[in-house]
Amino acid sequence: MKKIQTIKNRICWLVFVLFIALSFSCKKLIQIPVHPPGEIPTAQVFADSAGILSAVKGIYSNFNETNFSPSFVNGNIDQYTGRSSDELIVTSPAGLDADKVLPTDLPMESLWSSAYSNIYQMNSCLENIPSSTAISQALKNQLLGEIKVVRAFYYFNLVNLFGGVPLVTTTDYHVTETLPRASVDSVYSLIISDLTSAQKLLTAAYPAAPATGGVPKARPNLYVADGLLAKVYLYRQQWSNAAGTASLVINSGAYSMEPNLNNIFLDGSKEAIWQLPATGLYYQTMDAYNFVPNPPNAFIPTYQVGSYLYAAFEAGDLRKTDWTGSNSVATGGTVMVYYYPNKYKNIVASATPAEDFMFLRLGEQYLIRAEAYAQLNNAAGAVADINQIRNPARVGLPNYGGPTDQSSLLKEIYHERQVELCFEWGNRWYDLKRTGTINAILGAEKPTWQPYAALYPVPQTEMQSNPFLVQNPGYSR
Amino acid sequence: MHNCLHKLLLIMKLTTLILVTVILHVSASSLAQKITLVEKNAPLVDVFNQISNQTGYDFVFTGSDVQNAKPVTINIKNAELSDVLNQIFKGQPLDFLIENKSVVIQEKKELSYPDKFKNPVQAFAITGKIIDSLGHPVIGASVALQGTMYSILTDNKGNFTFTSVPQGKYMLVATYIGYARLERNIEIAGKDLNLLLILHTSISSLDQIHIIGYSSESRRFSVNSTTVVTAQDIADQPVTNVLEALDGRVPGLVISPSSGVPGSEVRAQIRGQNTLPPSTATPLSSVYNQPLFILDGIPVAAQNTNISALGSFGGTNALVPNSGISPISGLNPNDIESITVLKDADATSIYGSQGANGVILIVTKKGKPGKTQFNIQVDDQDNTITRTYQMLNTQQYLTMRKQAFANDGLTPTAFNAPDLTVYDQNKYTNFANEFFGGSSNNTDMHASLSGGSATSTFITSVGYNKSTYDFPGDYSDNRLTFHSAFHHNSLDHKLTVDFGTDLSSDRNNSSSSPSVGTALRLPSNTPDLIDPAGNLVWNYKGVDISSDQMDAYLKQPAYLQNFLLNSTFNVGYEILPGLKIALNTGYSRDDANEYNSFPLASLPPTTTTTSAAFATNTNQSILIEPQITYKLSMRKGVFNALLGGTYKKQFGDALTQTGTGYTDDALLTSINNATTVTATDVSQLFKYTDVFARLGYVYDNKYIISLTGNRDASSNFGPGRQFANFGSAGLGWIFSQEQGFKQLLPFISYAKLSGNYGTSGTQPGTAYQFNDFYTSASGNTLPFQGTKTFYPVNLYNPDFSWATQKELNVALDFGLFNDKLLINANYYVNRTSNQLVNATLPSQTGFTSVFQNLNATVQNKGLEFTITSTNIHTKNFSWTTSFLISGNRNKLVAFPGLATSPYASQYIIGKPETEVYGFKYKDVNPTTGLFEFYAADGKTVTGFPNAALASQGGDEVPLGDLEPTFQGGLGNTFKYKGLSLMVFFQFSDQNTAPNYLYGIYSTAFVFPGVEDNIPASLLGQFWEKPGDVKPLQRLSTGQSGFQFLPLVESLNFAESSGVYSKDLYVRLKTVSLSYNLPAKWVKAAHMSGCRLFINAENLLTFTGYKFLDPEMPGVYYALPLQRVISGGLSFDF
Repeated sequence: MKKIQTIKNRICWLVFVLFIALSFSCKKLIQIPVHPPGEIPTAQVFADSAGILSAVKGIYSNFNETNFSPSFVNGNIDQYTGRSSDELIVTSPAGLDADKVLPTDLPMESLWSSAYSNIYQMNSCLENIPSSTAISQALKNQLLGEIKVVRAFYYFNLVNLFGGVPLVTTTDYHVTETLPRASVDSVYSLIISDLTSAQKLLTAAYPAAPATGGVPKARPNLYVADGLLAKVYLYRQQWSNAAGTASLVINSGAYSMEPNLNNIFLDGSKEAIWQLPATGLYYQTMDAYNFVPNPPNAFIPTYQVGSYLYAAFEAGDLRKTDWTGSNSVATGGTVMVYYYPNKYKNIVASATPAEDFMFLRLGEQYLIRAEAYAQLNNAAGAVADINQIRNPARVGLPNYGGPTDQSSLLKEIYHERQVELCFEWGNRWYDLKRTGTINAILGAEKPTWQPYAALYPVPQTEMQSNPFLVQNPGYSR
Repeated sequence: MHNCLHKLLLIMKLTTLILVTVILHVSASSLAQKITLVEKNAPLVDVFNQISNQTGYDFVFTGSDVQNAKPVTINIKNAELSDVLNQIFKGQPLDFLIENKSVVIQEKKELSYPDKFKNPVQAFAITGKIIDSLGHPVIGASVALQGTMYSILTDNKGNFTFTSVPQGKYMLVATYIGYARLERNIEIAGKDLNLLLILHTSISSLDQIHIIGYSSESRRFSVNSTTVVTAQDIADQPVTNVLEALDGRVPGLVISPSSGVPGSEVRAQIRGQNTLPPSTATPLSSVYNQPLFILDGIPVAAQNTNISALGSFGGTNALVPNSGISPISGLNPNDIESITVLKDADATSIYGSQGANGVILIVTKKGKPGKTQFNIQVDDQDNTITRTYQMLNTQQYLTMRKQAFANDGLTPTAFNAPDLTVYDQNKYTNFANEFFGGSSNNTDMHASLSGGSATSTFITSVGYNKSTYDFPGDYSDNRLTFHSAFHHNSLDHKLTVDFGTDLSSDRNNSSSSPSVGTALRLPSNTPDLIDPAGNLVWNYKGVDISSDQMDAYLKQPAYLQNFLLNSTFNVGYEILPGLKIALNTGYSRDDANEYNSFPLASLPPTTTTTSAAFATNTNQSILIEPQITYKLSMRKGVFNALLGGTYKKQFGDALTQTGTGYTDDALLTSINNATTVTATDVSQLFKYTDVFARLGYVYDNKYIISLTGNRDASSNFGPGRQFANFGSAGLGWIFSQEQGFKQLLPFISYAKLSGNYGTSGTQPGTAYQFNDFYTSASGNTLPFQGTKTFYPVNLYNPDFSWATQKELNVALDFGLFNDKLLINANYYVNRTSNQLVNATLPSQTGFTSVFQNLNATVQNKGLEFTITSTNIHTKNFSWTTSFLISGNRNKLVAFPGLATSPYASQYIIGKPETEVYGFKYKDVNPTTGLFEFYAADGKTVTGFPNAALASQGGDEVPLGDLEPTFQGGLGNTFKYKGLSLMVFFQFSDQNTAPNYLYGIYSTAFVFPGVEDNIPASLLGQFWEKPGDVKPLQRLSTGQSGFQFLPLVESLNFAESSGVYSKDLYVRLKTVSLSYNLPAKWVKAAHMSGCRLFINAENLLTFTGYKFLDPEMPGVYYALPLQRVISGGLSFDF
């Protein structure tokens, strides 16, 4: 009985104490650490120089080659724009083709949302870095300049793929969730203002290029800002600005043309202005992974060089042999030859020398200036720039010897762009659109071509989640 | 302490139930019998036995009572019981009392001399004792003299005393939950009264006790809406997941199975969807509000969500597509005593923010006092699919394909149609039959040992269940469960101690990527996928057939191993009469280990990377709940008070490691052998406290009032928003107790009107949602320039706070013909506002969702009817019926700013949130052979409808509500001697449900005509030539670059009224036949019981619904539900 009495007392006390604890110190009882394991509050990230660098570098990680879903910041962009234009044919029965893109297609959603999720991170850095006391003003300038170049690059691709897009420049979702599509002009205004501002912030040195390993030209320097701005001016038909800005890059002396076509896409290429590491774990660039058949010679390549592009290469053009590959495959008794893109060749991660993913290169700058000169009726300048690309030593073709009237020169420049920049960054697709030739050319090549297909549809999910978005004309669903 | 008390009551109740049924069983037939006795100097006890044998009347007495009894001599023929007893007790120092069907013996009490003269004011004492039919005291029973202030509770020995009651006639009423109400006319005339009263376990379901939040009650005096499913109901059904056993048995609860795979997820939803799902919901992937699951007091199976992390069980290509493995599947239904479903504010409010979607209380079996019992049960189940798939045979398939090519104006080539040009044109494999036509086998074994004394009881049991897949391969779900429970109370019943443990180990062996959909759609003349040497075939005459290689899954082993531990320890003490103090503690832990692998042998020759993934997932919760309860008899009524607190800590860790680049398939079972390992982990922590109180008062057995209140605190909110208060109030009026009611309506034995109104809330499922964070890129992202990079993970929104739900429930209860027929009707209206959801955002914000309050109000209202009836109840035969039907109506009541929110494209105010929107389908254009639709105006016909709501300028109009209009069940149980038959029908009606055409047309690039097989029932329905009037558009090859329109139209069709139809079905859900072997035989075999049984599940389905299972409408790519026939044996020793 005594024992029970003791138990009773103990239980009474325990329950009593627990009650007191619950009633008066609830706040303490539900206390948990200020952040979950593995996550850092944003404010804390930007209070520390290592944190800031990790956040900024994260922007480049988003150009992530391990990400298989389509985004215009990995090699998949080459695949989609190649198919939309006349560069690629896809053998597998289902997929995205220029005249069949639906707002419900997942690649559309993936292109759109991956871009904006990265833009959020850029905006977060742009908002937090200026007030940070953890880093020097010089480093701040460099970081802000880099981020602005990258943001301009994103909007440049968004506006070329979709037309006017929502112009998001803050992280506050209360502001951004209902933004309608901005006009094409306002998107370009932001791009140009970001790039001109970056010109003031950046220097000729590539930031923090590691001594060994890594890719020295991964983070934009001044010339990346210049080179991209030249491209933007070209697209905006500001010919003298385009020529002048391209000249800044060409005359800098920092870059030179690679004499061997097979060296252009390698790590440390002299022609490269901006290239990022191929970060695949099991392969190198997404382009090689997508395009180069593996194992070779056994199967019909999934992506084949389109017949119009293949025919566009002049006889003897080394670019035809160096930048395309072929497989002979027997199907049901007949042997057929299939050609596939081969600019990037490494299909395994460990292959050397390593290839990097090319964003901007000197060759394109010459073509930009050539086109601007042609438009400005500087025929000599244009021909000289064309011949930087087209010469016997480089591509095995004689220098340009055709007529030098403006339209002949432009025709030649468009041709050189087609074969020089094939499978690179949607240049062909964007060129067809900006030069106004898309309906004539694709209309002739593709029986089911519809002019509205020049712009990709705004993804259905986005249309649904933001009622202020307006679909591009022609897309009923 | 309520818990201990409850357990005690349960044990007492169960024990008495068994005995009482035996007594009733004997007595029912012997009431009319007369007694014949010839005895000379026989011991009194022997005579009692004789009488008992002849009449079935039970004698209740103690050994000491009959010690001094004189031997009996009697000679009497065909006499009435009372005459016989009068003769026997003449001259004995004993009195007797005929009470119900018992004879209670007690010592004759001669009033002492002073007593006779002590009451000059004509007032006398009433003393008494209340016992149950086993002779055990009933503690805490309410005793009252009706219509007076005399009301009291019995003490620890079952005694009660009214010290001074004026002379007169009274009606004494004794009540205790779980026992039949006892009424006795007494008269105080010149002397004190000493009474011995026996309370009998009630057989009326009105008096069945059940648990509600932290206490127990009977339906007779409750003011809330709860439904109890008993062990018997569960035992009749051969299910491995106990949630399936609730299907059709609880009004207001919708059970949705996700597939026929053993262990697969079963969704449960109580009284409709309260919150708006976070993203665009397609009919088959809507987000469900799941109730709170509580196992023996401990919250388990949070949100009832999939426990598979790797996707082999829940991914898009999995056997249970997009759903997964149920956390509840680890519980053995054989160990469950009862499941109580709490539906309204009065019942759930005490759970505060956790009970907003209802609560499902699962109580496991406890030991019973008495002889130690050993039970073993073995059964074997045979499973086949409920509805077979009939796909096209080769001739039909090839004709279909040729037609598609002809329609497209294309010529089949080796490249675009290997099935027409390269494959054998005469080969036929019935793949549907091969993959789904087989049968599987389940084995279930369960053994339990239980017993105990008046102070301590125990139960321990072990169960094993093996369920094989109805899908080729050596796959099965193997469950081993251990259950134990121990109860102790001190002799004076003041101290109670309970502890119990449930442990289960479940291993589900499956495949890494079994893709049910691919299997079903394989063309009938697909070449052999395995060559004679047993190797997988990847290439047939130059055609790559790797995408058809279904048998590869056989070589990709995967498993999910799940361990569940649930342990409770409760202790209670009565410190003063009626005042109890208790502490309940619990710990639960769930460990899941998952593995899947992709060996080289299972991969096409083009793939050289082998991989294996290993995942562990541990969730733990700790619960501490102090409580004080007080029970007091007060002013003609009984007052109950409960003050309690909860402290809960939940924490979990998950780790997934993927290894790639194994050099040999044999090494795939260890992460050590991988060349590259990537890992991701996640952990979570949640703390919660709650202080709650419940006050209840039953006045004069007529008027009931119930109040609850609680204060919640949760770690999942931002600073300043962590606390919230909830409460409810309930009232009840048993108007059959009013004077004159019985005279007026004598056939109505019970009538109650009750109602309650209250609030409950919702809190976020995880912590830290209010703050913005950065985190390191995941393991498989390489460092950038030597730095591990950061990326943002959440939007900043510190303002969200508790969602509130207001619930009103009104109920009417009737008991007719002595409660033989019980009718219960409930009407409820629930409104959830200030919704706390993961709200959709356009991805231009950087994220696709943000956790926030949504200023929307969703209403659910509905009606629920339950009728239970004991139609016939005689000695040898009984027939009971239960019927229930319920329907819920959901409505988006208000949503300020809807038009400018991301939800504008999903909802319309005034419509249910379960409404499906789409195009109004017209027909197939006889000229073009393509589907056509009505534009928003309802008149214009278009082939290119605009996929937006009409309110948004599109052509989508409301097509119908995806929620069932009504659902329910009808059960009949027949018992004849040892034979028992239970037949249970379940039914459901859904006006708008996705039909099989939804399954067929909703996947892009997969529509009739492409290189995929289709159901045979589609034959003859396709448009072929101009002028045809057919229900389905022309077949098309879907070849890239050529046929755009049929694809677009097939997707339009999948979003139109054409793929929805009425889904009304009546399913013969359960038939259970069992036979208890006669006692004689059982005794001869030295057993105390033996039962043979045959149970069948999903036996027959009556429906107009075509092709797929109406219980999983529109689901084309999941393994169908199983028809189970099970036979078994149960032995008691």
